[in-house]
Amino acid sequence: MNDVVIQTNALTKRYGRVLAVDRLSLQVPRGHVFGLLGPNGAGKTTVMGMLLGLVRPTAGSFSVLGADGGGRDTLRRIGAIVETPAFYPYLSGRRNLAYFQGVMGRDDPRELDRLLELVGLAGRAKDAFKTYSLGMKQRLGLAYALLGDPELLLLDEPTNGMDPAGMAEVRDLIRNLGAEGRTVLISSHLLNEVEHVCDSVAIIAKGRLVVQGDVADLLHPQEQVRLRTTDDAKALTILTAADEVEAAKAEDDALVVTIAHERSSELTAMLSKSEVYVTEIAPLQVSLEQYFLDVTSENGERPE
Amino acid sequence: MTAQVLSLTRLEWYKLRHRRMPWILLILSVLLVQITFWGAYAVFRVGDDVTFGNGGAGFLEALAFPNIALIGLSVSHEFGIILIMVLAASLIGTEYGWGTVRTVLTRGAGRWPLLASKLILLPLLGAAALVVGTASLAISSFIASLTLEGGIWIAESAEWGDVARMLGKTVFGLVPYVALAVFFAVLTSSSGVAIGLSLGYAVAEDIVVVVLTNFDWFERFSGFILGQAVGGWLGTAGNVTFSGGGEESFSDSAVVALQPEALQGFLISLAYIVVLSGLAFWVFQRRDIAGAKGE
Repeated sequence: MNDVVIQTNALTKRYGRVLAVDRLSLQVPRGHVFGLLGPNGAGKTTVMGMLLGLVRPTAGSFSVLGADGGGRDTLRRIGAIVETPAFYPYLSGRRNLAYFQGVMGRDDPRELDRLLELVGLAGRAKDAFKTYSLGMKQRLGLAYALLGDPELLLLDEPTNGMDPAGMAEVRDLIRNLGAEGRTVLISSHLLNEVEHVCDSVAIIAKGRLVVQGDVADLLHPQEQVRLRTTDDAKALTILTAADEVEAAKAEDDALVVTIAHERSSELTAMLSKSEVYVTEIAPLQVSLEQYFLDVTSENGERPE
Repeated sequence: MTAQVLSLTRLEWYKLRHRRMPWILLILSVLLVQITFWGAYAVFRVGDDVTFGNGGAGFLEALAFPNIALIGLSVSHEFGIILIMVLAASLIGTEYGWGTVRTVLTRGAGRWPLLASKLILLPLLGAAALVVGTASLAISSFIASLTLEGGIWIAESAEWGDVARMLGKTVFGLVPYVALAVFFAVLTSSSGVAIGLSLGYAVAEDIVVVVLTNFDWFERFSGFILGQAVGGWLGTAGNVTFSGGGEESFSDSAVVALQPEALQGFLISLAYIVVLSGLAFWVFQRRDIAGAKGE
């Protein structure tokens, strides 16, 4: 079984003089919840559009679920929401889902009931789509994306317009989908959300890939620990002189020490020999937001 | 593939029957036919022998079935062109306006099967509307025959087969206009603009033809104009009037004189269908699909 569900090779999209996606090469591993991050206009939706066959690439290639360039049969194995979910305003939520189920060549009323229940729309299923709030439209979009039990989900801003409780529900839902072994590609501007939901992320800016990797690896780019001791000044002197320590500095009433991960446990022993005792120690973790701001500003992008 | 297109056609009908628009257009088409019928009836009631001749025997004959069905189809075609273009442009344009074209395509509907399903459904709806309009005329004809001295309901001057043939010809006569509206809708991605362009074309064509009939050189080209080609295809049956003779026409006689023969009219209409549909498919297949336009 192929372990890469989505692969893009130098994928490029140009709209006249605007280069929306620039030689993007991505790999989305099977079973991962993968975040696609980038400032507004970075090209996230264009990438999703190309993967779904809505936008024709100017150059480059891609494969989805093992099929080069996607294709109609492949699309039936993918559930997707691109931007704000669009449905027929005069049809009820249930009838909209029934229509799209029919487009997929299926007819299963029980699936409709189950999905409407799952996204919390069972009580409003018979109301016209045009009467739905943005959050409800988003929920219907999720139900639509889950039609046919797809192997791959492409979700563009899936919590857009939802209240905090709804956002938490959707986060749980996405986590559960990932836990079931489904691959989920999610684009979001809510970095906190991505950080808590995704296994891996790719950050793009101006259509170019800035960085891609596991969230845990990206957020621990340097092997740093933050520690507090009974005597920080003395500890700093000891650590600065130690061969095992690459760097040490005082920062915000604590010490930040750069040391190989496997040797970080030696810090306490090293300090205690000089009668300096560690009162607090923790790996230094940058937030995804800080990381995102750092890498996009390095690439001349200012996130909105 | 055929099964998929037919399935999508059935689903198009599922969507459409829940919309108000097709029902409003159907009611409008029936109303227009009825207004025409009862208008002619009123004129007959107040008219004299000079107007209708022979005690109005020709009118009474035209009023009876199946003659009235031929007139109904002829009148319905005149209105039907406008209404079917509005429906066709709306059916495609709103998919762009609401952004649903993207939602459908991302579930693997396929671009050409989706467009093909709409192109199949529209003439079927046109046929259904023609049948309903004609049926409503039959009821009116029956009521009118009871109120007129010497009124008859079933005439012997026309064959029922003529009605079936005329229905088929009239439906085919709508298809080039469906293709025109669909092409404009795909090209502009907008129902409003497509309706404007389609109706604008139909009106402009009528005006241009009337003006150009004054020039001799126009005779060589007139048959290639859509309205003229369709008129030629429908032939004299398309110009049946309440006079009952088929000699007079609602259209200007000079314009009718420049219409091509039925076969030529059929072939030219077919060429319009193939070219306009082909262009619509080509554009729809190639173009990037954007989000909702909010129309």
